Amino acid sequence: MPLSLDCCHVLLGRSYPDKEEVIRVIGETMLAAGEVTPRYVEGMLEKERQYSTWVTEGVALPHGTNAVKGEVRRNSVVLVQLPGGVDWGGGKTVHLAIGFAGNGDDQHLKLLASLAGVLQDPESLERLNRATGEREVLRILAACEEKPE
Amino acid sequence: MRNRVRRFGAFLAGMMVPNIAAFIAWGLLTALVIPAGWLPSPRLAKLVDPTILYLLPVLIGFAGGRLVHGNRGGVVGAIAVMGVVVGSTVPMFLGAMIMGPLGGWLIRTFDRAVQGRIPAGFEMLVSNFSAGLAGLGLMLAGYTAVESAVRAAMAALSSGARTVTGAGLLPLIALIIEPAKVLFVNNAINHGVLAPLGIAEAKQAGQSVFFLLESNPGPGLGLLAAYALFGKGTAKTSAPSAIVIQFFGGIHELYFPYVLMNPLTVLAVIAGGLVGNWVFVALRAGLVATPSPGSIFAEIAMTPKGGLLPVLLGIVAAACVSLLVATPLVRRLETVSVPAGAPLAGEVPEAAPQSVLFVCEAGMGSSVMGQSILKRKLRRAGIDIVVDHAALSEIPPLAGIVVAHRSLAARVHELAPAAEVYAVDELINTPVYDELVRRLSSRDLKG
Repeated sequence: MPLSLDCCHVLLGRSYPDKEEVIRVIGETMLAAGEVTPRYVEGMLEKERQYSTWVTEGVALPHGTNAVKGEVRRNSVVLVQLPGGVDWGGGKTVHLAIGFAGNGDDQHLKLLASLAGVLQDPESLERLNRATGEREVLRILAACEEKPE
Repeated sequence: MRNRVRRFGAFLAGMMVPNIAAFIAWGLLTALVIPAGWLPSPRLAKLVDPTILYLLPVLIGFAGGRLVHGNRGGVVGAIAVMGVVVGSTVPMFLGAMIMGPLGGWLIRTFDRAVQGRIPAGFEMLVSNFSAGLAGLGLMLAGYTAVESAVRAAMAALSSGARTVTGAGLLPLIALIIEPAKVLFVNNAINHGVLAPLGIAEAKQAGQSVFFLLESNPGPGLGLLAAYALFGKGTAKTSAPSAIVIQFFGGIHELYFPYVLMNPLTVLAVIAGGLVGNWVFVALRAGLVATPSPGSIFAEIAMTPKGGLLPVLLGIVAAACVSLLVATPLVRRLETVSVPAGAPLAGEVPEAAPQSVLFVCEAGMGSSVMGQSILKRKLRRAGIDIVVDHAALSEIPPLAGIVVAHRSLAARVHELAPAAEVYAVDELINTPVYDELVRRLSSRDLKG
């Protein structure tokens, strides 16, 4: 089954004062698409207060806490390019924030697996940071998913 | 080998530590309401025996079964423990520590064998009946076997005690008394061997050292002090209250779980007992009758006029030696709980881990991502093992290998005491994954 990227939103070349603002924008994008409830957005902010969602050099993966799992209506990925970088706490700067809401199904797992593939590959990551169009971003994600293991 | 021992230690601790609260509840109750207690009450004293005979062993058995196979294993373990509990006349802690994990192991073996082979609609039926029958089988087996086992242990220890006293090597009796106490077969020695000798001697001399040998609270005090000073986690924080109940309340049972969670520490109480007894004998200490319970106050109350100093010196010496010997052993347990090393094998019913569990707070973001990265790496290395993900709150108590962010590692260890935890600081490119690949490929070589 090919990966469906219908649920991916791409926000290119953004700039925000802090990570709370980044997460709020991610949350609003998900809300506008009807993919999560407002409580999920609160959960994402709460999660960030508890634990940093920084995952690797330049990348964060904001998502909700365990408590708001049920607030996800549909899988959603919101990819935000932050060329100027945003301070993510703990001395980490993030250039790519990938907001995430998953309902636990097969597609959820596949989405994260393909994201993991991208993040492991410095070249794809670099291309993702530089991408100038939504379709380009989606192509990079899809390419990583199809890569033979 | 070393790692196996460590994992075994972590497993024992996982059985005992969660139940220390129950020991404290029972100890407090007992210190207060028994006839020799501080607020004697025949009515409330009825709670004492059932609690130590039934509740405590069943709790230990449940914890042991649960470590092996979750709540389902715990239930089977608890059922299995009832057989040895009812079949013997002494509190069956050792039996519970065997039957509990055995029950968990039995039902886990069954579950794995029938996995995916049960016709749809029958899962609940099979699940309940298999667990019930497994528990029942073990219950009956334990009931049948335990009495002769306990009787043999009592007979061996009593004849040992008789030999030692007969040979005039009185201090050496600690070698028998201290392990016997922890296994609850000390009463046979006490009433069968020591008390008659003590009563006879006290009639002539007005005092007897025999009353001191088993009731000396010093060795237990030293051991608990070692936990209070150098222990870790619940074992450390609970030790001071255990000291109060054991040393002042005279309820020696309070230190037994601390020995059972780290069996080598029996050496500490033995050493404490040996030195204490030697001091008693050398200074001609003695009591006029059996102090019951063996609290420091009862010891003092039973001291003959002018005989206080030798008694106290013996108790203090025992406590100091026990503390000294226990310290490195208790510190070692600390390294046990820092998860590292090989899988549980041999000593406990757990083979090499069947799966790796990736844990994060929510169980839907980083753990899923980490799972996929790790899965790929393991597959490339040709290692066939299941990699799963879970939320922290859903972690099964007997997770074998767990990977989690460093900030969660301590919580993981609390929730799954026997788990081998790999802490990562960075999710994507951490060297920990390669370490884990090496670890698991060496497991394959070892078989």
